[in-house]
Amino acid sequence: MNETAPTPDEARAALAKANSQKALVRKADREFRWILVVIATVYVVVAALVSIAFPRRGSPLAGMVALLVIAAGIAAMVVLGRRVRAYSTAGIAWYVVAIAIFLLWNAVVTGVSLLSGWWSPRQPGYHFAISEAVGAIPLIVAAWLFGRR
Amino acid sequence: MSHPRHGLDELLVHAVRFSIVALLAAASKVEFSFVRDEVEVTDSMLSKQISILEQAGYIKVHKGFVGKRPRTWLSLTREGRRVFERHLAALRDIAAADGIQRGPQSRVG
Repeated sequence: MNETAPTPDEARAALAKANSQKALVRKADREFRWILVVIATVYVVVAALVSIAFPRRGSPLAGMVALLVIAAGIAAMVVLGRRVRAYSTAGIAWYVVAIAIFLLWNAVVTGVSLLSGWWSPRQPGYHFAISEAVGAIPLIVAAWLFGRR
Repeated sequence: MSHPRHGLDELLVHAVRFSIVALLAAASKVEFSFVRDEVEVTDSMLSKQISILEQAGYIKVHKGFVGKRPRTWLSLTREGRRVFERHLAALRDIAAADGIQRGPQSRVG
């Protein structure tokens, strides 16, 4: 049982403090958006490299650069992951849902690209890059929404 | 009718402990250094308060490594969350009771 009670003003100040702590965690959750931006960037850059190399039926240089981009992306994600110092359940849920939507959307884009003939040996390589850029849209939207939380 | 102060938790009346628990209540997990920076306390002060809260069963301490660096993460237990919610409700009652006691006249002007 508590015998010393805060004054009403102190109680209000404590409630305001609790609300401000919530805002701090929401702000910390925003770090996840940079991981989404890195995934989208790696995805689009690798697709662009593949699309450039495709007409020549492969290019060792483009392949090497693509590998370097993927390695740099993984390194960036590790660094960004280490920068996360606080997260909420909602933040993790947003992140997981964003990745799930991205994968689902990608499957749809790939399916439509193949079935419509947009992707075929006779088509120019940039078709592939355009489809993959469209595939990355959910990541960009999710990163933007994370920033607005 | 009992006074709302009876709903307050003895440990959470302490301002630093309240701030720590309020931060953890909003999060799933929080790193030690984040709490230290945001609550604006020293490492030793935070460690002391964490020990008190851990012994009371309000928070859980998770120790791990990122590379070679040790990292300590904190989270609120179910009991800690329940106590914090009850404490907040008591604070709301105290804040609201003031408005009732003052009456509408005191708010004019």
